[in-house]
Amino acid sequence: MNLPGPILQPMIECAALTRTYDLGAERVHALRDVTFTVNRGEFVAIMGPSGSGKSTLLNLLGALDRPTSGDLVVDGQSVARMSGDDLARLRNREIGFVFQQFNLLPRMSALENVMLPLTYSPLRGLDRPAIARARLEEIGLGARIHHRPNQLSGGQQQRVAIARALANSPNIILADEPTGALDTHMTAEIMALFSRLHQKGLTVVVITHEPEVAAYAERLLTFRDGELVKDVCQAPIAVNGA
Amino acid sequence: MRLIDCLKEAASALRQNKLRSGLTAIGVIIGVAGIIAIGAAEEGGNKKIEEQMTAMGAGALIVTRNKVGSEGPRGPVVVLADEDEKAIREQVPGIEFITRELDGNVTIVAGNASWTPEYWGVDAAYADVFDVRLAEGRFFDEAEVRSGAKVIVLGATVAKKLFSGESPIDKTVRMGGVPMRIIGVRTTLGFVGGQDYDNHVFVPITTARSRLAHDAAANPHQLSLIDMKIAPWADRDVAKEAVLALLRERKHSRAGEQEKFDVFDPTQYVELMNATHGTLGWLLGVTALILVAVGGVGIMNIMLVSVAERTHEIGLRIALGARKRDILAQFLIEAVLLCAVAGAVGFALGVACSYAVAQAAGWPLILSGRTVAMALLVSAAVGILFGFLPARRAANLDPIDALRRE
Ligand SMILES: Nc1ncnc2c1ncn2[C@@H]1O[C@H](COP(=O)(O)OP(=O)(O)OP(=O)(O)O)[C@@H](O)[C@H]1O
Ligand SMILES: [Mg+2]
Repeated sequence: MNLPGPILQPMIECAALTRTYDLGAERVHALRDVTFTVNRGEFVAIMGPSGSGKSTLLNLLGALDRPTSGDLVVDGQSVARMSGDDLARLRNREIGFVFQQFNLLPRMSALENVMLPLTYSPLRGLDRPAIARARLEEIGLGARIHHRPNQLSGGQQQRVAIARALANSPNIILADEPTGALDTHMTAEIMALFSRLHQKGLTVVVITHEPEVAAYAERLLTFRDGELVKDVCQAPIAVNGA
Repeated sequence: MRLIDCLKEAASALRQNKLRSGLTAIGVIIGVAGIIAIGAAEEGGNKKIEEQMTAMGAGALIVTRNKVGSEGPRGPVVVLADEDEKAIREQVPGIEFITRELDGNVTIVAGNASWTPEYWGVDAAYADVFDVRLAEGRFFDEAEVRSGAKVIVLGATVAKKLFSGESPIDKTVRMGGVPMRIIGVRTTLGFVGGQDYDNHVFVPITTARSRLAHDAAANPHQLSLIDMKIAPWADRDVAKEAVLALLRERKHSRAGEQEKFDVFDPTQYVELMNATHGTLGWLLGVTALILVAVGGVGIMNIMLVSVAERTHEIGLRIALGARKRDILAQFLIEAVLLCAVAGAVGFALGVACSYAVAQAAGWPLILSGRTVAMALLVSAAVGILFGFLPARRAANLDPIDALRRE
């Protein structure tokens, strides 16, 4: 614990983060006064009952939404004060999303799906097919690059989605129940993949309902009724290094 | 997102729904084809009118015996006579050429064929007044007029009816029993105001008087018309007024009262006869524009459907880093591409129709830059105009909401 490690560098800083939904008659407090910091390279799991505000938080962290009040800084940039274009750039360059339902575009091949974030990259002169192919090979789908989503298993589809999240070499991976639609075997495979990304230095935040999934993380945040009620460090499951 | 990526995306999205895209495009296709066809008809028709104007004598004035368009009193009185022509020729300045004209109908027989056209008995100057062009042969000269030569120049219709393609030059026909030698055939003028302008023959006025006109013996100096060409340097309105004034003086009539003669400008007649052409073209043009607009509404509708269907995809694209303007461009370009393809198909269809119409109407196929630009502009404008609302709706979607939708 006291070993001299790398200097801790904050990647995500939430300060009194609040998100309320105004539904006319009533007001839904999806997140209240949430304050915590995730450092660079951390692997964090988020748990909590349904409706506790987990997805709301992840949407804020992913710059898809803006807080009602409080402050959110992602990789040194204050999300609350950014323009729409800057948020788009942040999502494109710094963040990789992984969804429960994979969200691959059915009319496109695996390769084209992985190329999608690259087409929105502000960087010019990228060899997009080569990058996308490399990402797919890294996660062991090199032989499936021209398959459509409906020609792939659930686990394979989620791996394509992860390759897509990694396309622009982001610093942060945000996953909302990434194993929710997968069986136990596939779940282990996908979580091992996240562990390896973490070991390579990426910051990983995963929402889950399953303790077995949360066990892969080194830190566990628990939410209830929009509030952060528990923040504990834990020894993660050991995964063979990549 | 780069333009080429947008175009690829748009093409792939349109291909995904080929039938739907095709059906949606029909309105624009027909509209654009209409614009092209109407434009070409307009230009071709105008060209034809121009040719007719020249043939009928741009710069000519014609003295007629009664008011054009009204049935004036026609008695035994001689309204126009040789002396009137002489007076105009000698007293009105600015007249370059002038000819007398005595018209009538006569049956012409050539072998087994016979045909009854109008004959126009004129002076040799007629060819100069109306810039008569001949497909074959020549017009008669002053000497032939003076001597009352039995020569004849055929209009194109008459030549076709009597000789069906064969050259009639130097053949002899019988006109009311009188043998006449054919010396020329006039070029085709076509139809003006539904009237065949090639169904006539020319003979020297002297020959017409002595051999053809039934009442010439009673009124040897009578004329049907006096035709003149105003010199290029003279003012036609001034000349026209001078002719009118001279004739009023000679006929003891006053301006305003029912006159037994009139001076008119054949180019005005052509314009009058073709006025319906212009109005009709204008109406059809508006119809084509309305069709394109209706097609545009169809495109807007299908784009709205497309945006609704792809709401989830739009949410995903935003999550992956698409800016508002990327989404806007994607859908706008999809609409514009659909319109551009429809425009191209409509263009081809329009050209094909114009070609068929031009062939049938006997006018040249003219596709002016104006018509082509109009068609291109209209289809692009429709794409942008009617694609904008759906594209903006797509760009303004909330990504979280959109991702929740399936
Ligand atoms: N757009 C919205 N409008 C109104 N209320 C909302 C909206 N989105 C979320 N909420 C509310 O905010 C609260 C938190 O929702 P959230 O989706 O973050 O929960 P969650 O923890 O992700 O739940 P689950 O585990 O079921 O996914 C819920 O009460 C939900 O009804
Ligand atoms: Mg959720």
